[in-house]
Amino acid sequence: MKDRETELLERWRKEIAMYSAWGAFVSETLTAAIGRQIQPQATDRFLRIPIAPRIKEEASLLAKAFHRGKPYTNPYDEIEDKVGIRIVVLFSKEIRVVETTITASDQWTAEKARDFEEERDSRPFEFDYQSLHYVVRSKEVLARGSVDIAVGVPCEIQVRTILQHAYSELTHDTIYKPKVQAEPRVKRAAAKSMALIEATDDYFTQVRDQLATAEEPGQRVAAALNAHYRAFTALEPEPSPLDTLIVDHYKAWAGDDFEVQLSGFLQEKTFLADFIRERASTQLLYRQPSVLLVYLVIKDAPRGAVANSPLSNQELAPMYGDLGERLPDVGA
Amino acid sequence: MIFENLRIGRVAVHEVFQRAEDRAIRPPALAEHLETLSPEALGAFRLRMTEALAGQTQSIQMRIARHDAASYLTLVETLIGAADNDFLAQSGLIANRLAEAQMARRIPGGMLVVFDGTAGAPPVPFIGVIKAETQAGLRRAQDGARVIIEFLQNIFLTPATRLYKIGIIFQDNAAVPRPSGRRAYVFDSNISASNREAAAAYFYEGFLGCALPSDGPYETARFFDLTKEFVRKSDLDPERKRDLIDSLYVFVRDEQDATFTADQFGDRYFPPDMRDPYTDFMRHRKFTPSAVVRDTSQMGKRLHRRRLKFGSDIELSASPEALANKVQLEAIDGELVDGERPRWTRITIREALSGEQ
Repeated sequence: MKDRETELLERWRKEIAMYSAWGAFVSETLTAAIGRQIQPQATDRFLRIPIAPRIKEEASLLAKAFHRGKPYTNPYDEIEDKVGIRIVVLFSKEIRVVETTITASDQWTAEKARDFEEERDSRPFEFDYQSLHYVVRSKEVLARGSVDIAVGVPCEIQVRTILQHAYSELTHDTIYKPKVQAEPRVKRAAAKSMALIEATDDYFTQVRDQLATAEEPGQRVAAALNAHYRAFTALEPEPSPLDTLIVDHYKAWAGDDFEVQLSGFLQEKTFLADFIRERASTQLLYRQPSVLLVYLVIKDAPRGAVANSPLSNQELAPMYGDLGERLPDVGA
Repeated sequence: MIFENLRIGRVAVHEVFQRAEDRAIRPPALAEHLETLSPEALGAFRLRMTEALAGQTQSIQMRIARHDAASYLTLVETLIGAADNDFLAQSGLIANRLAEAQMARRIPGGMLVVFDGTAGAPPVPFIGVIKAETQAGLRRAQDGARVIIEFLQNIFLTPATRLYKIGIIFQDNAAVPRPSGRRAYVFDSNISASNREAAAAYFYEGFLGCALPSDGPYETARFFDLTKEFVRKSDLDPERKRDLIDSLYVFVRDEQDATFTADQFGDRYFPPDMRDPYTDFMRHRKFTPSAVVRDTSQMGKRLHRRRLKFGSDIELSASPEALANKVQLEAIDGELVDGERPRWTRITIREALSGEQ
């Protein structure tokens, strides 16, 4: 009879391809689903580390199964993180967005394994490792390439903030996994770090909310410009940092009824569409939806439009010309 | 606004010369082909047009004085919609006409650019001419590994506006008898010089058959009234308003230039944050953005007496000169009335009371 370690490893080596395939499937499905959930925000700005499945090393699989004093009756099946993925976001609130995506999928069954907020509520005086863990299992046999994924194959998903991630990178291997108990002094230092991280997350959230409030008027203007640019020029806009720069500067002239203001202006100056189309192929400026705002401000406030503008006189002069105006001389 | 949506079509460039020593005409060098302009050249060309024509004091809507069969107007109208060959041939006749109009020997030669196009929304066809004096200049250029300074002759349409003149005829409606349905605009840096007869007349009058508009008195008075209204409605303090009205009197009555624009006054006297609102106000009241001939002949008493009101029942009337030189107005704190301190005025008049009317 084979020894228990060889037996486990032989099965693992046979099934590792299936676990890899399942991990890859969960990664791709989740990335796409999160992308849909957070539109129009960009996925790569939301997921701070690209989602990629990680297969457990043989040695750590053996250690977890037999040498860490865990009371498994059937270690191979009971170890649920043979393949795992980790999702790192910026704010703790975003963790719940990911959770919704995980639990809403009909590709798997999802079971919560760990929830730091619940842990926090039950032990309010402790500052400890924080993460949200889910185990998802395949619901039906799934063919992926040459591999068939069986029903009930587990994959562990860890969701945490970038701060929580930093904490766990710092402590995980040294404080929790080995049986040796770290010294109280070390534990105290770790708890202090965690407390600081939690406080920092609160501040981050405040900053984010305040930024969102400050950016709201600009975003309203940008959204209106984006919609009108498409309809007005029949071109696909290509917003770049230049667009943000222009909206930021010229939004001061956008009134509360900006939509009305803009569509009235465009109806009056339909000929501008031709000028924009003619120059869009060679000049980035004319592929920015905000080019419409620049025209609007030139008409409403010819002197204001040129003063401190993020655009150069060379860029502005032809736009004044299109509207039959000359670039005003307002000094440097 | 008049020159919005400006599109340049065909361009022909001829050269006219200074008259010979015996004042005989030297025949112009006529173009053999229409010009092909690179996008950059076309952009610069368009820019020169709007720079000169849009809201400059030297750019003015003219009255079309001559419209008979031999007139410039009749000639240029044959160019609108003409085939390329005819356009080129007829534009040569325009060059001859300019050579004839340049009667004095002191008038320099230059390039004559004849072009067609459309402007406005909806677009209206026009024929334009630019007489551009040529300049010489230096250019630094790379020749292989060497940097050389080149001498360039015959550069034209540089940003120096005094070196070109523009005449544009719009054809709003060809179906009505001339000169109705046509508009003429002229840009000429010499127009605003006080001796308006001499320098510019050969171009706008002799060559283009135009005359300074006769609505100067009406427009000048209108400018005066509208600007006064704008100042009165502004939220400047009363002293500042009085200063601006003082400036308005001086601007309308005492300035020597033949023409002015509303923006010229705004840019000179209003604080920066009131200039765009002023332009907007004048635009909404349909006051022309082009230049206006300065003429106070119909303003009568408006320029001779100023009346200042205090409260609802007290008036002070004076000539602008007396007001500026002999009257001093000063806002002071009044005496307490029901816990409020009203604003009073202290008036010093450097004259004795001499009677009552």
